[in-house]
Amino acid sequence: MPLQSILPQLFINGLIAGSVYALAACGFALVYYVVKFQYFSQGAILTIGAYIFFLFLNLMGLNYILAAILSIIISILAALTTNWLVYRPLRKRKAGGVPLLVASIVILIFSSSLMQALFGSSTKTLLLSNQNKVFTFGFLTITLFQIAIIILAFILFFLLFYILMRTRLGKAMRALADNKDVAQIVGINPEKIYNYTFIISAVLGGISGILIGLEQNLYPRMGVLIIIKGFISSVIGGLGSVPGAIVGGLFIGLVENIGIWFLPSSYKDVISFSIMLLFLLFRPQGILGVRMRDDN
Amino acid sequence: MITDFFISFSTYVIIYIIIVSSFNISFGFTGLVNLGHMVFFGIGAYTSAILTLHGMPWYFALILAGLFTSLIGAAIAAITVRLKGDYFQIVTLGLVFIAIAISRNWISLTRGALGLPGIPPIIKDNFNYMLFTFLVCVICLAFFYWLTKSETGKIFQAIRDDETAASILGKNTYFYKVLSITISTFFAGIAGSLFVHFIKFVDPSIFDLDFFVIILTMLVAGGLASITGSIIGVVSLAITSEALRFVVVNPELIGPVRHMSLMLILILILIYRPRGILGKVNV
Amino acid sequence: MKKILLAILAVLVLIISACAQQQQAPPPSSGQNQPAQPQGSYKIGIMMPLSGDAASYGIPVQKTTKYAIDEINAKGGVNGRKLEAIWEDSKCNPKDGNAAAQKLINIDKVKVIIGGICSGETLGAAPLANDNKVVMISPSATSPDITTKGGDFVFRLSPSDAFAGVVASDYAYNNLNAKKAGVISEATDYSQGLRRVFKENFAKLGGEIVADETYNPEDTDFRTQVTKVKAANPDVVYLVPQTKAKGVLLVKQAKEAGIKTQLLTAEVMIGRDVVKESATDVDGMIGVEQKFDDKNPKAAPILAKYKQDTKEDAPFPAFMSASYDIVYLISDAITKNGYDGEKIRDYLYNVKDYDGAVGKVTLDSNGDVILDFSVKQIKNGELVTLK
Repeated sequence: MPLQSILPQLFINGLIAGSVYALAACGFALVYYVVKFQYFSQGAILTIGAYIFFLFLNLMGLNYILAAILSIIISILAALTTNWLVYRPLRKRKAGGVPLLVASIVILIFSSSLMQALFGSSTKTLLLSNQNKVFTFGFLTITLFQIAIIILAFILFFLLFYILMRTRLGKAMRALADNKDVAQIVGINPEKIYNYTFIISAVLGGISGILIGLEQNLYPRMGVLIIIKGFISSVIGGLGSVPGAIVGGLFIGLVENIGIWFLPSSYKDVISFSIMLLFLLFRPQGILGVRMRDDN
Repeated sequence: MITDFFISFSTYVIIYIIIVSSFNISFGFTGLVNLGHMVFFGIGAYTSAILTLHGMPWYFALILAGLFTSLIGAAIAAITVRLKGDYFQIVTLGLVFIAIAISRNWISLTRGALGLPGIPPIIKDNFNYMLFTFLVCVICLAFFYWLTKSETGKIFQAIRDDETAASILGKNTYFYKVLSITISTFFAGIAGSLFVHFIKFVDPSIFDLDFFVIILTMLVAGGLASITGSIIGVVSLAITSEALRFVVVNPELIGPVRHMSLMLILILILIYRPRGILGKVNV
Repeated sequence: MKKILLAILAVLVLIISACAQQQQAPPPSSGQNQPAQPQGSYKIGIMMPLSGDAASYGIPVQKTTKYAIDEINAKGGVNGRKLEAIWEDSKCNPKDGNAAAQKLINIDKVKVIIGGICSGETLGAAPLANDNKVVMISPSATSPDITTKGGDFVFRLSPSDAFAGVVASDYAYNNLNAKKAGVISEATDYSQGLRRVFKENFAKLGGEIVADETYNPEDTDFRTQVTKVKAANPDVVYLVPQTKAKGVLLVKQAKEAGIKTQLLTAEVMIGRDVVKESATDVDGMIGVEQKFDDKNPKAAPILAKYKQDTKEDAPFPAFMSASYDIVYLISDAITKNGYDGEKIRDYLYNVKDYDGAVGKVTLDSNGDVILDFSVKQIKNGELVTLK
């Protein structure tokens, strides 16, 4: 089959994958931008959001909107708890990026075991009515829910920009991200803003968890697998840049899916990691060209 | 029989000591946060496994595993050590995923996910093998103690503390950083070879992130920039994690409970013992 | 801060022990009255993946293993002594498999180990079992390597992939008249074993492999692999996921992409829970599994009991029944030959036509089980046997 007839399908495949990566990446990037560490435990928040949604929707039989709201609330509580118990004590003793990074990976792994202890190891399926309605245009196919994911992802990205660029909170976050000392002098309380940052990223995480859960089923280690791609997206887009993370996610989704048309599909991960390495070596500021902080 | 368990336990501990203290050379002493250290352990394991399966005697395989690993380490370091701060960590963390992908997909060499079974042991008897690994470990540690006290070791630490100052003093910091990674990956490769001839089977799970997190915690718990600390870190955490096997819970929860307990211990160490037991610098 | 953390820890332990209480099956009636005497019991080591992804295999198999042990103990044990299970989490990888076996063999001094579930952990522990003359029996490891590299003391009650792949390709070529096949497989030992055998045999029969795609165990998005296979226009598509989670997703995405050709698969995808939970997704698929009759008088009660306990259908009835049979085979071996690794091994090599839950069990000189395969199709949430 000629490439041009298949290209639209590859493009759609890439767009769906890219939206999922971007959803996982934007919470990660937001925390990196403001709080300055590699927030892998965003994967834990995703997992918790998805499982709590499953708990309320399938096990307790609540309405799906109510279930989604409750699951977002619990995601927020989970994010604040990890901040309060682990990240804040670490920041207090002026720990560098490494202990925070390790702690966030540990929390991520911990959460998968916790979900297994609470919900069991088997795969759970989430399903809404009409979710799998398929639209076909010639060779091209897409489901209703995939269209919804792409649209919802873009709405969320827009809201995130709005908060960052147009609100007082967003201004405070940007001030803190640019220079913590100056921000403190003008009366911004970093811990308070950090808390808001974790809340916003948890809302993103909870919603993404639900969407990803609906699209790809639930299993205890789902967060580990998704956040790795979120992390790559964030690096490629420009670490510490929220728009960068979104662009990076979409870019990786597209390149991976179009790339394995030409290469054996088992090299999908090699494609994304190689691109990440190339970016780090030749354009470390990422696609959108944000400069990263220098540790030294 | 219990002695057999302790022999195998000690063999693990000895091999881990080599990995962790070699990790300490690049991370603790030189300040290069090489999150891909276990990749080199895995490369050493695969190299040694493939060579011995093709009939090469173990002593060549052991040395070649170290040399080949350090060659790759040097090549990667030559490209990446110029990167600063987070970038270097990210690149080296990325190596982990690339290693997994390659070991799974280069089927003609690694047999992919099927792994390589039937790797010949170096010494059949476990007790003698433990003595052998102990001997190797003593040589490694002696070298590490000597290295860290030597002129080179002092330059490593100067780079860690203040790279600009070190370069102003006329030291070629680039060269010394590459050297540090080359040395530390050589010993990681040796440890990988010792490990694979003990387990006698290797598959891509050797690159798993969980394994790396445990090694990293051993290093952090023992303390950065202290070889003695690394030894203590390995021994104390290895004992803890073996002790967790004897915690009796409902059989269905054995897996997650042990896993969670270990992760909790790691977090507590990070929060309450940021410098580890004998550490000289903050993580 | 310390107090808070301690409190959290305590709460966590409480939650978990509460779960543990909940999940405990109704206590076996007679087992309670006579407390086991550890010094007088026969220890059986059991290593399975109890955490991580592969726990979705380990936990159900663990249950049926436990049923058999409880039953035997309720009847008074073996030679008047109880069987005592010692569980280890082998995490589906050779390192933890080896460490688990070390502990079971040298600390608990077991003479027989049930496990592992995955081929990797089994191969990591096998050299140790052979050196220490401890028998290992796996209910589910399928890698062809276990036949050749497992050793004298390693047995299994699941047929090697080498057979399953041949049956699948034969069926595709001869019964489905497929001349062009597409393969989508996961980059794991089990799936790659099947893929290799299927490809070789299908080509040998005269067919052509037009698409051969793999995905990594971390992947959840296989759309482009599916698109590539669809574009190659095969007569049959052979799907080999490692776990049912990935399998259901794979089929879902294959169907969404509009693949209308016959889907052929291995036992994972025709697990009873998959057939039930994802009936619409997997409808029409043809799967190859070891010949197994879930209505046979030994298997039916176990599977019913599992359903009663967990409110779920048994996901891997063949593996679960195999582990049940293993416990009984071991107890027979101990009764006849005593608790000794070499003697148990000798007993197992002579097992012929044992009437087990999994079917008629005969072990060959490699320690592999000789079982037939059956080909089944999913139709409206039911499994129909085709061959």
